[in-house]
Amino acid sequence: MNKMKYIFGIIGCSALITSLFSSCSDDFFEAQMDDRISPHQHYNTKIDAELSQLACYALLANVAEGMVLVDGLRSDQLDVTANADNDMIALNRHEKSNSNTYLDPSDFYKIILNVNEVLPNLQNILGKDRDFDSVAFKGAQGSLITLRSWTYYTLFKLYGKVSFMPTDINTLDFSAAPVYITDKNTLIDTLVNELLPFYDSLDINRYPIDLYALIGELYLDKGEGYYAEAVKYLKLSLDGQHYNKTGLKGEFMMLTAASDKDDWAKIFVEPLQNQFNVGIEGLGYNLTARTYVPYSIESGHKNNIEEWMHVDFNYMVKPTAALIDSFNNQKPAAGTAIGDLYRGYKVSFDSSASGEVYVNKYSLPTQYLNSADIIIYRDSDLQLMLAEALNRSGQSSVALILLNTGVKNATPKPPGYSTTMWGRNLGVRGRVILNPNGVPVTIVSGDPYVEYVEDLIMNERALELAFEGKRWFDLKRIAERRSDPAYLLDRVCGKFDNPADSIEVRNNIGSDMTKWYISLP
Amino acid sequence: MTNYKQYVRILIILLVGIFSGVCSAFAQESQVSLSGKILESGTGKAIEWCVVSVSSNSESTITDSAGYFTIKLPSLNEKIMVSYPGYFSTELYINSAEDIVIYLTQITFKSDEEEYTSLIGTEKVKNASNAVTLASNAVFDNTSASSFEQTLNGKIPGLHIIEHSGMPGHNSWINLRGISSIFGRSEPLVFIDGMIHEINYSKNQIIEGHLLNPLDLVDVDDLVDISVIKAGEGYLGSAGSNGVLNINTEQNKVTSSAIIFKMYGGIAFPNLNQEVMDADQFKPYFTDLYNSNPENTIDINSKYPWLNGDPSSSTDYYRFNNNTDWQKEIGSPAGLQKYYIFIKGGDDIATYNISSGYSRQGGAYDNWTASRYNLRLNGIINITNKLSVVPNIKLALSQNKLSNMGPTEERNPITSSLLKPALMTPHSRSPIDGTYLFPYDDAGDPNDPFNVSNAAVLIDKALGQTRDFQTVASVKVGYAFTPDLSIANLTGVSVNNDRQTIFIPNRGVVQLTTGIPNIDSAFNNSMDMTTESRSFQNHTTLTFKKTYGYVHNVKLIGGLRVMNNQYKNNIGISLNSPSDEISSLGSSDEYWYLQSGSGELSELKWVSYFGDFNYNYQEKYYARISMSYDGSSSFNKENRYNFYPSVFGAWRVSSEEFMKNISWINDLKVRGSYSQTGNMFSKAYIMSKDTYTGYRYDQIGTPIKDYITNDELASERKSTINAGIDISVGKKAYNFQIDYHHSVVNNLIINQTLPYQYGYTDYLDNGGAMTISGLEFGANGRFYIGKAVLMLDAAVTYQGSKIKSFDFINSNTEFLTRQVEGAEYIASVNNPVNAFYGYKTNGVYNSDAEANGIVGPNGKAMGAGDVVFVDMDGNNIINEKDKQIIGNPNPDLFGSFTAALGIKRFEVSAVFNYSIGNEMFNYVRSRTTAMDSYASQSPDVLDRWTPTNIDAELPKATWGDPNGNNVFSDRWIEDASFLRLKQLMVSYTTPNIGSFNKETKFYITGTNLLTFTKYSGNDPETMYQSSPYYMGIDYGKLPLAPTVIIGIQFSL
Repeated sequence: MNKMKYIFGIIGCSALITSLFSSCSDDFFEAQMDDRISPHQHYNTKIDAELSQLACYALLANVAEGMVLVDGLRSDQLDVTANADNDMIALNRHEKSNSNTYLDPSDFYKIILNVNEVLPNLQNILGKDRDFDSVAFKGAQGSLITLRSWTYYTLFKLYGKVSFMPTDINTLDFSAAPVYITDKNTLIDTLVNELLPFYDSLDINRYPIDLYALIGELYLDKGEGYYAEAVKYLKLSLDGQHYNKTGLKGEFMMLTAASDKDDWAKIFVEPLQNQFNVGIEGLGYNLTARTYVPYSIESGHKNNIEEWMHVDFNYMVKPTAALIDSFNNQKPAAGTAIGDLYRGYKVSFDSSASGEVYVNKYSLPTQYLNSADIIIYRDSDLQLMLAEALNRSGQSSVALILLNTGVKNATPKPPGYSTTMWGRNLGVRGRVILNPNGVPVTIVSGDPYVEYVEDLIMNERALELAFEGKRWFDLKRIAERRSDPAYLLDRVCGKFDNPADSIEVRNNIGSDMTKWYISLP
Repeated sequence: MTNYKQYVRILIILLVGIFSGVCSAFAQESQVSLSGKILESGTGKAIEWCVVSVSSNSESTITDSAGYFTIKLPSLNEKIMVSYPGYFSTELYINSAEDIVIYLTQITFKSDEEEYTSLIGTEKVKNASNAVTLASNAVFDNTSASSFEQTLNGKIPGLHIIEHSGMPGHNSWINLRGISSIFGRSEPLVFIDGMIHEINYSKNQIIEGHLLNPLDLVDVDDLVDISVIKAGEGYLGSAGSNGVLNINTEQNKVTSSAIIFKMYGGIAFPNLNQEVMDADQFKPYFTDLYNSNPENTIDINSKYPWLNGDPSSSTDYYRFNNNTDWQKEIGSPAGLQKYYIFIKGGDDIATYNISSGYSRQGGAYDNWTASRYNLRLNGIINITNKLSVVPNIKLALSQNKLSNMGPTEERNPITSSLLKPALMTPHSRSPIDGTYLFPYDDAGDPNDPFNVSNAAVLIDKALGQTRDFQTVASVKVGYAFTPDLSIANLTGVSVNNDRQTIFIPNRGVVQLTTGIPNIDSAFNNSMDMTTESRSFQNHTTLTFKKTYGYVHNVKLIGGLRVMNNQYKNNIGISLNSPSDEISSLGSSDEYWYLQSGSGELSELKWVSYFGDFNYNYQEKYYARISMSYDGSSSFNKENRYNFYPSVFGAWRVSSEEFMKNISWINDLKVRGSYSQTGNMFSKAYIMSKDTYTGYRYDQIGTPIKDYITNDELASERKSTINAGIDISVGKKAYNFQIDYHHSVVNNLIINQTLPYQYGYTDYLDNGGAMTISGLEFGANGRFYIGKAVLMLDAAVTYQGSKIKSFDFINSNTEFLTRQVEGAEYIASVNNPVNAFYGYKTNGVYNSDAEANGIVGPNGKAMGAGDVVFVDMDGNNIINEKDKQIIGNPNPDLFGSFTAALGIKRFEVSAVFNYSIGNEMFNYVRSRTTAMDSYASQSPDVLDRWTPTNIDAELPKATWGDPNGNNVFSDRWIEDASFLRLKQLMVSYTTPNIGSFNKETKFYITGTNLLTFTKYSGNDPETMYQSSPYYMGIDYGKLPLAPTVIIGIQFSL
């Protein structure tokens, strides 16, 4: 009896004490919530820093496909088919509309918010992992800030204004009115100032989004007085041992010559006969893409572009007739066939058995279902931007070399392009074995000459970078540079067969270049 | 920790204060004499040999043949006790009366002497100062209900129960006093024998329209009573917002041995009674619709030569020339049976109860069954006279076979049976002579223009199965330090596992799109889900109970409760197995992406310190304070611990001097309470935690932020005032309970839309408030007609929730909407949380001229024969801005009434329940009057608009509905008020036969025999899921089946 009491006492008291103690600690309340982890479980090692950095880049997948579609429809590269939905039609006709399901500005800001979340946490890893030294730290910071700058810049190019988000996201004040930057030069200066500290003279860190390419593009867009700077940074991005360095692996690297879409691969790689760095990845040719957004259906991220554009799927948009003509009128350097054999029919676009022309650039064999990657920067893009900057900074002849047959075939070689690497440069047209484009002898010098060369570069960009999300920005940059809204209006409105449509869209766009933006929600 | 210490300090100070206050007890020596009589309640018959005793001086006496007694007691402030076998024992203060009349109630009737159970012990209903209703034994007797909550339907004022469907084993929506949250839970907390039983984890499902029923744990025959505690559970803190159902199965108070055996068998009749078109009506309709499709350029008679009635015209002639009643094909009477045995025994040291039951109930078709096995063991072991141990084990194994009954009409046999044209048959027919062949007829093949699944395949070949295993084990240890002071500790675990499996065959079922490019359809489909819900609980209570000076009754309780719940589920889906015979998960197509898996994992931890101080003076004046201080893992550190107080008061008016002369009022008590409670049961609180989620990126798993954390997110807080009156009149034969309650829920969690600059535009915060108010009325009475007793029982509830305010970050937002399949709900200020939101309509345009210039909801110009949508803003464009509230799924009034007539050993009873003012979106009718595909329709469409029938009710038939006539509108919102004869029962109880048999009862019970309603669907009572945002939508579930059983109950 007494013994029972004693035993019960012990059991009772210990049960009480255990429950009291266990229940008072905060650890007790650490409950599992699906597959979520808390930040303090995460930021500990260099690998954690790299994963967080990747996570920010991963969010590009939310915007990249929309950018391709929206750019094509707003510019002169894509037109709607009968299957298009209302949002596509509104984009194509430049109707002011508050809802645009294909490009949501919040997806861009999501990238910015995540960068802002990761940046201060990187500091926490510094003392924890000796592999994460100051060099790695600076590299990770640089990579994230480059991504953020690219995002702000892209937001501006699309919407005409950005608001810089506070870097400490725990102090967000939803009631505060947003402060917008609406001046392009202010934005460019701010971004360049943010980027320059990560200018790396030792060239150790190259980021998934190339710092030099971005600075170069910013200067190019800033325009008069900054072309020399643009040339400097764009050339830097193409120089050096890191010519082939890409941050990430993409699905198109798996395209071997045996693939049924090997022509498609030629858009992105050096032709076999011109390889100068044989053996990268053992594939026998060089990849020229710098930054790209990988999609992988295995990871649950599919690229919708094929569904929008391919004739086997929804076929909602199609290439414009003008662009098709432009491809078909190119003259190859050899043989008797007419057309852009390496970039045109059956490569960038194709036609179905019933004659419907569709975008083919993002088509992959079925085992890579909807997984085609989207390119942010690649070499041809940078080379043509460099050419554009060279042309504007008084080096039109070098610009033409890069546009046409390259440094390899130039005599004499332009100064500054003497490295072995440049010595193998084929030029953008040379790479796809097209006749060089020159300036008529009647145009000798001065603005007409520069503008003529610039037009050639722009036409080349339209072909080389067709359906890659660049065209509207190109047209707008040139129109602004020349203070000539018609430069853009003529081209964009030219895609409508019906003159009434053409006039209506011309009115919708308007000639006030400060209003050439997508309206914000 | 510091908070906790402070809290304990406050408790001690309070305790000491009350002790010292009441210890100045009275001490009286004088003796007075009391005389009175004891009568039977209702009849007023004198009760002879009734024992009357006084506890203070241990005097006792017995009544004479006229019921008279005289007894000596210290003073007239004393309490006397009256008891007689077969009647509720009564204790009462005589309150200075010198000649008193006491009515005793037979234990077969309702009485306020019954005890209700709560977490802090038992209390007589007459001493309750909060709103409590007790559902006792009789409610659960002789029923064919597969789960006990069905027997409560309508009977408890304030308790709203909607049976999801007529499929046995289904879940029910259980709500006490209104919807109290948008994101959180609105279902009450359920205790079963002291253990919190999680009834709400099972929100995930792969069988559309089916939710497993966690209440299956307890067999309806195991119940003793259910205490429904509606307000003021202050001691439950963050878990108390939605009231409590306290379910009591222990039957070990009596030590006498007993064996009870029960069994019943019966039939459930299918109740599928929708009007459909027969073959002759359908053919011209089909032709008309075919011709309305501009894509059809071929003449219908050359495309479908079987239409012309000539067997030689087409090899498909026999396939498409039938006249099938599809509802008959899927409905046939099904059997019900149940066996149950209960054994109890023991002695003063230990008692035991064992019960076990097996039931098997068929739905409207033999392939739909719910079978269940229950086992329950409990007992009391009195180790010493101070120490007792109560072990308790419950086990339930259930297995259900059923079909999808949800909005995916391709897989729902009920909707398919209505949409499948009568022209076709379940089994295929020989093209040569029309002989019926073995295989089921296919659907959706190139020759079949109708594209509706073969309903017979969906019930016969499609597999839908759940296997559920629930077990709860607990041990309660009680120790009495002194007769006044005791401690009790309950430790228990509950583990529930459920496995759901479905397989949808290819043949006979219309294919669904997969959402996966290149793979445009799912041929056949298997899915499997396992869920596990576990809970560990520990409750400790210290109880001090004492009467000072015979008049001051004090009960002090302090306690600690710890709970740790875990929930996990895994879902596997695989598409396109090689054949319909191979239905396992691993056998899908070569494409790996046709297999997918997903899962969920969550935990909830809760620690609660509580105290309850209950005092009454002579059972005349009651005061009670109840409070808790609790911490929950739902909230983050800053908001984790919360204090919830509540206060109660009650006044027994009938004990006052001035009431003495009003003899027809036997009891009159008024009650009032104010309480605060919280609601920790919500997934929304995850948003208060700073977390990353895994994001797969290019073969690498990366952590990513998936929302903007709201670290200030706090518990929703409900403040409730309750006022009530309990009246008993007419020799205690007529009892009434009236309650009014009004609650304000503050900190209501709402979803906000942030400006795009924040990247994550979805955000939750405590940005709203809502009110709930209601009036409840419960009454029961007995009428004596010769030798017969007529018992009447009625319950009426009027209640409603309203949004009081919303505080939106985005100033352009005025309300919240939520879309579900086919419908949309709105929550807006001054309106219910879940009103239907859509277009109002006003008939049909008779001519193009009438529709002049109106642009319809699909952006197309409307014309003759299109629906007239009300244009709210008058801009001739029908769009989002023209949507308005078009209905309210919540009833204005609901309740029940019961009449039971007992004559000698016969009893006849009828239970009706009703719901008034609730509206239903008849989704099924929206499909059977859609007229947008070649599916069969309701005969109503014969009166559709045509150029020759311009005054029609229904719009014109158009292939694909390009003009949007079928968007969610009031066209299908119907009044679903109903009155139902829920149960009709006749029983006869034999007298004792021989020495071994105590009594035997035979009964016939009919359930759901009659329903009076204007609702045009199968059943006005249906619910898709236990969420306010599926309330009032009829997606085509199995209606409640009329059921008749014959049963026997044999006692030894």
